[in-house]
Amino acid sequence: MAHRGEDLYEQHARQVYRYLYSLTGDGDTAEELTQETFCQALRSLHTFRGDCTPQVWLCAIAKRLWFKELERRKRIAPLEEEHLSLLTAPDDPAGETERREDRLALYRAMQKLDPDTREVIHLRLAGEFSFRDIGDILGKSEVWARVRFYRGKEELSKQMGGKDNGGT
Amino acid sequence: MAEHKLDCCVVRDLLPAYIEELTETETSAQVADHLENCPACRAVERDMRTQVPVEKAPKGALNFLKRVKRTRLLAAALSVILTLWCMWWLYDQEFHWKDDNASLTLALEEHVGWTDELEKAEFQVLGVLEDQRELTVAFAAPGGTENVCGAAYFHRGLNGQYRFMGADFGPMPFTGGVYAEPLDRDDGWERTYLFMGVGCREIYAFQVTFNITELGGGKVLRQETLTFPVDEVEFVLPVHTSQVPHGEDETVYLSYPDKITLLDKDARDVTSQYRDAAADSSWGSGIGVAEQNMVYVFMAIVALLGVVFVRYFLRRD
Repeated sequence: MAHRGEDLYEQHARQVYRYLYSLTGDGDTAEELTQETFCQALRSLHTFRGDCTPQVWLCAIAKRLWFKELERRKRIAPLEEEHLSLLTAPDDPAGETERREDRLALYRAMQKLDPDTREVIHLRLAGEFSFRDIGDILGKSEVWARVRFYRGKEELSKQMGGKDNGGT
Repeated sequence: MAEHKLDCCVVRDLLPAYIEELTETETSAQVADHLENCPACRAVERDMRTQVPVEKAPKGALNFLKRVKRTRLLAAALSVILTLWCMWWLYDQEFHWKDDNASLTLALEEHVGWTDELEKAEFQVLGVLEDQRELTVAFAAPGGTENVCGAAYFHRGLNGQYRFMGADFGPMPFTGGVYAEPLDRDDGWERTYLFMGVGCREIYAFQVTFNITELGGGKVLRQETLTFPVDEVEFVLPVHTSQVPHGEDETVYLSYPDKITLLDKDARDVTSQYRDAAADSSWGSGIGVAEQNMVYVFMAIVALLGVVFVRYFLRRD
């Protein structure tokens, strides 16, 4: 395979990081898991057949590692509002309580979405991936990703009681 | 556009592409038209356009590779420095001696002192001649079985210090007096003789008799005697053969001075008083350094190792 480790890293590290950030919602965890992903990838580089893009392959490894990490964390401490950090941090202390409730509401609404849709939304908004990339990563099509994204947002909006969240 | 009235379900299917502005202009117009007249679909559109406040992945947080690169660069730089230092150290070990009596005495002890004739001798530097990068050190080594005198050759390196190249020495047949050593940097038949004086307290001059010998036949044609004054107890006097009148005739040469006569202050021959009965004047010895290029071989090995290390640290994998 023509993929050398360092080239692989240089070309895909940011994507893998963005992907992991979308999954974990935490910069440190994402960075740590990015390194681990590439460690694993380099070790099994010879098994990479090229039947998918390196990005998809790397994201699959990253996802597996994140699930493993989740298992580990569950054993240590029950996973509480883990994904809260995904939501915008308050920059206005006065409205913090209200926003915190907004964030909680969004979090709960997100949890009610089906996992694929949730992942698409995170990949799109946190990871800033294109729908084509999201489709690739999840083994679906670009159209599928786009429809999931907008249907998800629609559902979210309904879940949150049709509250105006600044629609455009 | 009434004739193209779209159903709500079709509009909702089209909405994601419509929001992304991927639909045909005509389709977009029809969807927009429908939305204007259908509050239910407008609500769906508004919901789909909801901004979800999800935090974006921070930019530039990924500096792991930079860190690795910096570490490797540092390691490579350290390897280069270490390699150069090792090479310099090797060079400095070889070109080790300074142009001063203490250092040169140590050099003589190390490089010449191991020979049988000079095992117990104490070295004394009589004088130093410098010619470009070549340093000739005239030395006396009393204390052994005989009074040995000789010349040691050094070569200056890039660090301004000297390496030992070789030495010629032999016994002086006197308890004190003058010894002659031809320098090995000879130039055809023309050469420099180094006259070394040791213990010349009562000696005020010496005479040297050169044989002017026929080339080929080896017949001594005539002799030329020169007298040199002695001012110091220990001295070194280089005499080039061109200083000895032997004519322009190219068929003759000056052979080794076969007779040295010591004179006191009244110019009387006192040579017999200084004759050393114990001296066996039948030998002469020379040593040279065989592995002169070893230091460069070692330096090359170190350099090679350095290159290997640098390449290892700067590898792309």
